[in-house]
Amino acid sequence: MTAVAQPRASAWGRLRYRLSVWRREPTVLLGAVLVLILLYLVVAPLIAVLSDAGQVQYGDEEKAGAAAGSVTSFYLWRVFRSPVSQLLFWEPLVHTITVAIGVTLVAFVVGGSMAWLVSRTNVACRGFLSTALVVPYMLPSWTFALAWLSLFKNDRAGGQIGILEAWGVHTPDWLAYGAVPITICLGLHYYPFVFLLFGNALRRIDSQLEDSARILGAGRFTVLRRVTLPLMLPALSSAILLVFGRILGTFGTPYVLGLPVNYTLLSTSLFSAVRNHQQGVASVVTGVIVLIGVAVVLIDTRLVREQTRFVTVGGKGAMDRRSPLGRMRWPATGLGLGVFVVAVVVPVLVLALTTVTRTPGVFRRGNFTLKYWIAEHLDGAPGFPHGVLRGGDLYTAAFNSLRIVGIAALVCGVLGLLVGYVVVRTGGSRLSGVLRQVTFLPYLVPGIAFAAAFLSLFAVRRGPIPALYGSLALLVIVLIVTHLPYSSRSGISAMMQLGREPEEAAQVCGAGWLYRVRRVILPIQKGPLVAGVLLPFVSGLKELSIVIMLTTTGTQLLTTLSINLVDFAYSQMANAVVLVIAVVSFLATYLTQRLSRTSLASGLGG
Amino acid sequence: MRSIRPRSRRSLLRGTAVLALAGLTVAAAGCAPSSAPADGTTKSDAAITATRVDKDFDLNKLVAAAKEEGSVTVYDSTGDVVEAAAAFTKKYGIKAVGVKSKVGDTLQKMTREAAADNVTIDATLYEDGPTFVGELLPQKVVYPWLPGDLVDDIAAKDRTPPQVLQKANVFAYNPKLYPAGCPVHNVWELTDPKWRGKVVLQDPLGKPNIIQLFTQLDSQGDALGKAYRDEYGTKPSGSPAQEWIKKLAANAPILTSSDGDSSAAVGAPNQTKRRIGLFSTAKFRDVKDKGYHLRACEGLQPWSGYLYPKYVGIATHTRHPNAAKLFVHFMYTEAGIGTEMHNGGISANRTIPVAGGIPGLTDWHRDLFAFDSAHLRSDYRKSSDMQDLWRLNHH
Amino acid sequence: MPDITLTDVSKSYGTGPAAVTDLNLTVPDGSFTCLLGPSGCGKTTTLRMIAGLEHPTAGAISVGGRVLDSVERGVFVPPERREMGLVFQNYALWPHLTVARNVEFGLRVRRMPARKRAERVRQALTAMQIDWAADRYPAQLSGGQQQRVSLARMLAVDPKVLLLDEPLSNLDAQLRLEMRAELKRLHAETGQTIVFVTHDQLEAMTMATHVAVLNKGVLQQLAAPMEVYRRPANRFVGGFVGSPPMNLIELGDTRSGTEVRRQLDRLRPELLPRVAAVGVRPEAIRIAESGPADDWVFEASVGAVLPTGSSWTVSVTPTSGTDPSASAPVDGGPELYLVSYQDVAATTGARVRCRVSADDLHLFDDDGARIATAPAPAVAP
Repeated sequence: MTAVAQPRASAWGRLRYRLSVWRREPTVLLGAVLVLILLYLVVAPLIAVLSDAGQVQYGDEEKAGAAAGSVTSFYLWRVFRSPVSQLLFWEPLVHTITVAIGVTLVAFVVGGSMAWLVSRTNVACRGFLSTALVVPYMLPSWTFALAWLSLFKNDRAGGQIGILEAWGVHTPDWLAYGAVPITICLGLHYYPFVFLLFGNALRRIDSQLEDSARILGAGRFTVLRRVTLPLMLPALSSAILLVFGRILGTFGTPYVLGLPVNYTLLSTSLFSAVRNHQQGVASVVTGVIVLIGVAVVLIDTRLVREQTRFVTVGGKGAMDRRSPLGRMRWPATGLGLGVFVVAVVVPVLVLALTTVTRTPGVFRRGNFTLKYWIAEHLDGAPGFPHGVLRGGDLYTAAFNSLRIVGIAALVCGVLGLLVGYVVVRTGGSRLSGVLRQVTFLPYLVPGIAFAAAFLSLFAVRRGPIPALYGSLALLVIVLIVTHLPYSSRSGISAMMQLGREPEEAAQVCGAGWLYRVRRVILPIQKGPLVAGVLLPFVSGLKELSIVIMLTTTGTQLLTTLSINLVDFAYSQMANAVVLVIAVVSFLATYLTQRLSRTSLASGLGG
Repeated sequence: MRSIRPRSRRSLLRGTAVLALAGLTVAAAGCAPSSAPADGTTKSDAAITATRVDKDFDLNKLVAAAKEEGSVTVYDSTGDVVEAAAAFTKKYGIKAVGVKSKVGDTLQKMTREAAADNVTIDATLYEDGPTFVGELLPQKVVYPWLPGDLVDDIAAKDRTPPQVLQKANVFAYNPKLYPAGCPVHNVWELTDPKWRGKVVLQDPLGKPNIIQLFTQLDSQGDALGKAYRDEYGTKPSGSPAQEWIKKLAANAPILTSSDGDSSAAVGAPNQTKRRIGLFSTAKFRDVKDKGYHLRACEGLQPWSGYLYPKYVGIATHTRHPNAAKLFVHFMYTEAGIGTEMHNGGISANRTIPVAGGIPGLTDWHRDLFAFDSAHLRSDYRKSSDMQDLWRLNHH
Repeated sequence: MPDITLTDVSKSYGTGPAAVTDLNLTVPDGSFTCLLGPSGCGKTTTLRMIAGLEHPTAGAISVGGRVLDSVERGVFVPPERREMGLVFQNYALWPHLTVARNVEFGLRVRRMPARKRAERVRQALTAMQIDWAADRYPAQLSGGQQQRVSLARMLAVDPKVLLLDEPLSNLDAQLRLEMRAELKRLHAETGQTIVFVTHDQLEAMTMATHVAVLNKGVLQQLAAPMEVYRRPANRFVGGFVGSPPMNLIELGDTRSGTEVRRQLDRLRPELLPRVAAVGVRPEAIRIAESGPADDWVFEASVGAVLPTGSSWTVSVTPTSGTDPSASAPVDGGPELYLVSYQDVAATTGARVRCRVSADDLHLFDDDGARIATAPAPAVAP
């Protein structure tokens, strides 16, 4: 039977029908509102930043030979073609790519092998390792740089000499500064991404797939190479994307470790442009960073699309099977513990040691003191004349951090779930695609660039949106936007797994939309919601660059307190605060994992 | 998961709606997306930069009015401001908050606050002259003001823009390693191979203050030229300042991200490397507190370091105009500025004695290079060129 | 009377082939109607459109005269106001609520007083014989038990229409049989209108009062199950309903084709020009030496005998009736399947005589549509 041409519904009728469907099912409406808000909060700042690249900035009139605000290619010239372009852009570009690839490799090797050990072998201390190996992500990334310098610093840099030098071991420049330490430090900081995502994927793979390969005569290694790894490709690509994206915008570690040998990355180049108020240059560099990020995402999308077909193979047969390591069990355990020691114990210990020594690196009896923690009065720091645990400052800062980051993380989690909801419910539509991409975009924009954009965009009243500058709301909003990629990823994957039936069942039972969300979606998604809150929380607690630009008078957060202490020349106390941050985020993670049985991994969308 | 259904009419419609909305948003944002200030004031407008002095100044009235307002918040780049605020509160019973903030952040924040008309920073003690004159004043973010009762105690050159204090960055060495005194006698020696990799200073690209030193030297570099002749017996080929900067940059100096690191590199108790460092005299407090070994380079030609001024401005749209004025007044008295002179400094109020006490530095006026406020505008204009000069020569 | 009426309903996703095309269907009040078809035929889409979870691109859906969807008039009643019950293929129980809470959900939505609510929950659970599990969580129940809860959940709100989406597909054979009886009992007790979707024709035959056969989004036939079985509206229905499937013999040059043509030529020469194919149900082919004169009789050699316990499925290949000496099929003409309820003594290679009564020949024309051989009896549920 073929369709017979019949009088079709008029366009008007269809539109009316569509409208009344939308009225009843807020998904599309919600999606549209979300997209609108996000476009304003994500895309508008981005455009604001990027548009500075083509406009003469205040103070550059003479150099650009035009009035402020007029269109110019001066900044493009300066960044790409001028005599300083080599230093400003080309060298940093090469360095950035080198470091990004290096870090990804380190993270992949360390994270991947650890994930395999913990989830697929009978390595000892599995429970401990699976928690302990995630800890590096909870330490602020500069902790590693700090620990590195404390150990390896030589006379190319200022400050105290490193412990090795103090013992008379000379450390060459390439080991102390530049690409090698940056790669290792960032690699150690970011491998938990790979560890979490990979571990999750490994657990989900159907071991029957591997067994059948073994039965067909493939050796262990062949199975790994031909079966396991290809199956892991989506997780791998996702992890690489996350790591790569982060590295593009990270400037703390590269700055500290690169400065002594003049090793600049794009992020440090951007940082110095922002600090020197060269908005035009900053904007061009931001543009390039975003472009690289987008390119990585596109490659990732393509890779994953080709591989998606067989990701779902897992299913019922999947089981948690561990292959015995035999004689290698204890060496493997040693390796796992070794990674823990290198990535957690050493940095934390070095950090902790600095907080109890007057002169770092000197281990004589008289040099040890607890005064930086508990002294009632300390000389020489007018702004902070007592140990960190004394006075109210630490507690106020901790409370502020918990409050502000907490609110942001909470909103982030809920928003992420909503995004996931809309993306899944409108699956395949353009709305779903736009939402998915817009929520991931902030991941590719370096935090400082975002903060600067928010400052310029929301400092004045624009339309119905009041001037937000100086309000905590702005800080909260920026934190939400910059951390939305995490929670929306986790939201999307959680809603993907849930499917639409549970909600439809409620709908058929007569429940309206709000009721359904309140009584069905949210309760069922409690776990993923917690994960979607947790990850932004952990990463927000460590956030510095954004916070420093947007906090207002009297609002001290833990990170700003730490930086202020550095400025007061009390690096001991600054490090103490960093330790407090690490402890807070570890406790938060540990407690939530205990209480809700969710893992950080689900927060990554794994 | 990534299944792509052929686009339906429904999603087409949706897509169109979304695109339209996106377009609107972008348009709305595009209307004023630049972070450049709206009015590109570049002319040196005398009316704006001229310092206001209240003719019929009455301190009692000001105190009374300030008390009405109840509080004042001041940003400064030194932590001493916390103490200054406490002293202010103690004296007048008006709540004062002193916040330490980097110059760049203060500039950003005050500019944005002014634009948002949501001013929380009432006044600033501001160390970066070029942006003070180049941005804060012409954009009317702050206005310059001096108390009428003290104006006569302030030298005319220090009134426009109003300067409150000069502090010093000095070349220092480790007297434990050099008991015989400073190993260099002429700043040109620092550019010689002998000192390659041994001069410590903050990364000029991260420290506006050092860039300003370079631009000021460029404007008044006669002494540097003379020192060159003393050292090498010839005249420098080009501008002595640029020559010195280039050679210094090329001599692989050790760059740090803070003065604390610089001073530690020179004089930490366990330091064995022989170095010369350029950093703030404030770091000399570590001599007492942490057992550092530091001494300013006495007799270094043409100067042992430089004085950098700190200016003061009151936020144009402050909600506490009188309290802010009172605070500024306070900072021109010994009780106020004294809190920031523990480690040396020269108050703009000539009746307040110079605070010395830095070993190796005897006469602040004679031994230190002083910035000239008249060159602030050109400092502002030249700063990015100077950064490039450094960048291109740094190895 | 709440008949469900679908008028010219079409549904398409994007520019791809339509999931449902111009569907006109009336589900009578109180009927147990089955939407039957192979996967991808649009049956689930149709069910979800009735529930309001999918939205037609054209047409109208109404229940008892109340318009629920009308694309032309812009009317849309959301699922939550349709007073229907829908049981999902995977049950879609809410994992965070106990069984009792799951069942209570719809009543809470309706703000029923607590005491009455408890009573109704108990009733529904008892009716589905799952009351003992009231305080358990869905994850603690087996598939069949979850299925009962899922039914109880929908029954509790007393829907006007109960929709079931492949409700038995996830159950094992034993449970499936049990649930079939259960559903049939339910229907008998409540007289509720039930629409259910399945791809299993046996399920449709055993339970439904009405069967709507769909293929590629187009309705093929709507009739009582036995009617669908006895008088399939077209080749598709004939082939889809019945197990093993109907033998379809093209009137071509194959041996059986020639044989059946000869038979038709003898009995209904006037129909012969229109006939393109003849369908014969395996159950209709008897192995017998003698029978009525108008039987179609042919000789065949036995391919394989497949005993199923209660019956024997036999594959046979017609040999030329005129040339009994031919020992094996030469042209490889289509094998026919027959089902016998008596022990087939023959073994592979044996020669048998097959008979089909004239009434059991289903004639289809070039378009595959049925050619009426006798006036069709009225549909009697």
